[in-house]
Amino acid sequence: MRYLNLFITLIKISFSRILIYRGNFASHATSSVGWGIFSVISIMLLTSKTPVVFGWSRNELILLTVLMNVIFGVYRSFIDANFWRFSQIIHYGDLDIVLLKPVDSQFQMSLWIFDLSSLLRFLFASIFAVYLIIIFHIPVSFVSILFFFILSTASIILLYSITFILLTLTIWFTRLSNLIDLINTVTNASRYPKEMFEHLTTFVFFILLPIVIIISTPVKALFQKGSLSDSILLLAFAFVFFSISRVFWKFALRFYASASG
Amino acid sequence: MLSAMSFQKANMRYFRIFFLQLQHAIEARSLSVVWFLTALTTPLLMLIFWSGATAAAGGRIFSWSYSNFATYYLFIALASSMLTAHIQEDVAFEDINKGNLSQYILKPFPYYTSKFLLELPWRLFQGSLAISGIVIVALFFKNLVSVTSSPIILLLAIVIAILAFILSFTFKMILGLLAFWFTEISGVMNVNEIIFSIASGTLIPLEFFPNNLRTLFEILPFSYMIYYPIIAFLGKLNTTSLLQVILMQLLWIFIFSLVYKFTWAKGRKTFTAVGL
Amino acid sequence: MSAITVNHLNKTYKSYRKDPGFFGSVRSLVKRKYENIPAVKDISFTIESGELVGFIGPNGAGKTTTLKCLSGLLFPTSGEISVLGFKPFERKNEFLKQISLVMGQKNQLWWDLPPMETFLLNKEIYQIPKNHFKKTLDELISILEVEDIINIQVRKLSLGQRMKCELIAALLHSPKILFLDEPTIGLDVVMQKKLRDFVREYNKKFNATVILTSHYMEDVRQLCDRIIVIDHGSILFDGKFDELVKKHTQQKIISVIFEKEVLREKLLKLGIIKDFDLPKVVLLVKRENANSVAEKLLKDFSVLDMNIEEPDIEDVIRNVFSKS
Repeated sequence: MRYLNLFITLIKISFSRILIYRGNFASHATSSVGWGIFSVISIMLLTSKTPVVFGWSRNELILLTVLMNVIFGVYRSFIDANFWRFSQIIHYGDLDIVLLKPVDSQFQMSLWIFDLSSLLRFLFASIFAVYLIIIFHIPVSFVSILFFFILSTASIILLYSITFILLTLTIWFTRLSNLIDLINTVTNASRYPKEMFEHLTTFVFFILLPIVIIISTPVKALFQKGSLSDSILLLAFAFVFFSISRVFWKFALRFYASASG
Repeated sequence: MLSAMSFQKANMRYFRIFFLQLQHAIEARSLSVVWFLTALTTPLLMLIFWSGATAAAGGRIFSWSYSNFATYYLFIALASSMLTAHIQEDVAFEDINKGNLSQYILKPFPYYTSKFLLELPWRLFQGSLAISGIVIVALFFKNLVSVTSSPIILLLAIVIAILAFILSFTFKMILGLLAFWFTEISGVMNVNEIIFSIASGTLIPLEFFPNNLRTLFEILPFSYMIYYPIIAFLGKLNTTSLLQVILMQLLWIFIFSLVYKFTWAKGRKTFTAVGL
Repeated sequence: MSAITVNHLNKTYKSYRKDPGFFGSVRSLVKRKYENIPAVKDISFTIESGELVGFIGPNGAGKTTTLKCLSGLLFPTSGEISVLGFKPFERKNEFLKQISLVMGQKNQLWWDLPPMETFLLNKEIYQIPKNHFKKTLDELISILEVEDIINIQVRKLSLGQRMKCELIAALLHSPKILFLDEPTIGLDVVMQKKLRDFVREYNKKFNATVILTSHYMEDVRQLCDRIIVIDHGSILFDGKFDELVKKHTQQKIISVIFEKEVLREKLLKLGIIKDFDLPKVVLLVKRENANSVAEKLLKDFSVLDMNIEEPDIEDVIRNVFSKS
């Protein structure tokens, strides 16, 4: 398919850029792995005095963090770098160049550049996760692993859609070049179990729901403690938010084409 | 007579730069609000975590109750938005990598002073947002915010806060100056963020760490940028301890000033040699 | 069917106004004032395929806005546009594959990669067949003489080399219509000429319709048979370049640098003195007298240097405007 060819060409370009900026690649890989390690250390520190929190055992919480790194490793590699580019494009008024190309503009703003250095984080986290599953004796099955992959994909789509919708707002508020920082920090909430947020006021919990189920749901499915309602909710959210992202983006482009000079 | 006038003129110039930057900060108010919310998020998340954790541990962890945690993290939020300078990225990416440094070198102010004056309005603007937030919280949840009422301790705490800002600022400037020698500096900055999170008490109160790590953190400068200002305001230290804190801050500021001067002198030579 | 048809196009956009100074900023915290600015007012024209048309006008006249409407970047406030049978603002892929817009300062080449990588990417983006791609690429490379540099990183190239590669990137898909927005801005004289030569050759060889906007008279004089003069959003003139010059500028400008001092009165009978700042003097003379005045100056005075020019575009426009 046409977009597949385009995607492959773009991956090749990202590889070329790695070869040119080898120091850059090494540095990014180090910091992304560093953040991964830090996230595991901090959960270990936080739970050092409490063996069970929110219905999760300490081992389960550590594994939750490691699996968060697996999913985020993929997300940061393929999608996140594009959001930095998104902010730059809007800020410097380069949206016209995007709109002139006969390629879907949302595709251009979402899957155009890749930061393959985060794949190392994905790799190490995956290996470490397998190791922990074995030594913690977590009961997994082939089916639960399959569900983990399916739900993780939905999670990535959901996370992407939420961020894309919020970034689309910068077409109106062009000055908010640091919005992506805020979004990334808030979506970090997904590394904590969903149950942690349940005792907040219903209103706040409802708002946070799409975010907090992103990591918890696939991980619980993997542990065979998954709830059907959460899984269906995740899939539904992924579909709904993605559709909203497309509609909202088209709407924003109409505004851009009407208002700018 | 002449020197008095030129002194006044110099002050006017400083004042005008400050004012212009404050105007800029107000205009980019949405940017400030976003930064403020970003600084607020992590402490909030920690609060939510601890509320569940303390409940699970029967009300107190390591003698900290939930309201202790709440106060601590609210102040972390305030300290993060007000006391922590973010100048290192500006220095590394805008000034050194992109070459904007030239315009600073041409000005009659030291580079340090220029950046300081540029940074100050942002901090004040964000700090005022944070303080109003805390005042609102204090009004609604009276037991959550417990600040010391002794005027001497309050005064010393303010001194500590000011010194913390200077300390953080100087350190970040040095970090930014590393861009003179390393083209890819974001790795260093990320590592610094990680160490800072742990050693400054932003992630967990330093009390929670085992003793040998605590001693390490007491020697490192990071705890003096965030942790000690906070517990000073919370009234957890007596006058003697506060003076010790100030002494350590002054010592680290002195060390960093020397490092800065050295780094700046060497770096400037490199910069003009390349002729960016 | 014409390549481009525009009927009663209008484009108005909102802009907010802020009072200057500190208190202006504080006030703008609370309230912002909006203004409606008409960029393009009721313009209509038709362009046939293969034409080379120039839009000329001072800054802010509405040229770029018109171009953006034609290429689908802007949504017209009212009116109809048809380009190659498409409505541009629908931005259909088949439409976008047949046009190209090159904006002076904007670049589409990947900064840290050789231009060749961008070319290969564009091949995928525009779905150019392999042999067609090779043929077009080879032709463009040979015309622009860039064989040696297409595999060097863009950031290491000079401005001129970069510009040539930008052009190639923009033309690989053999667009039927090429929009050029202020193409010579920021270029030195040599580069300007090279660019104009290239555009002329491209128009002839590939039979592409070329629309360019500029506020340099030279661009238009060298390139365009037909020019459209725009000012304050309205078309003031649409026709052949020579007509415009003959119709609206009765004058030519002669700039002289004298070797010795000259009395002002002596020059008065030759023409209107626009500038008298010895040793340089600028005279306005009637078009038909330009050559004889020049002869007389050379004969009767000791002249170091002399230049005969068309009047400034702003003066031409002012003339056109004041007559309409």
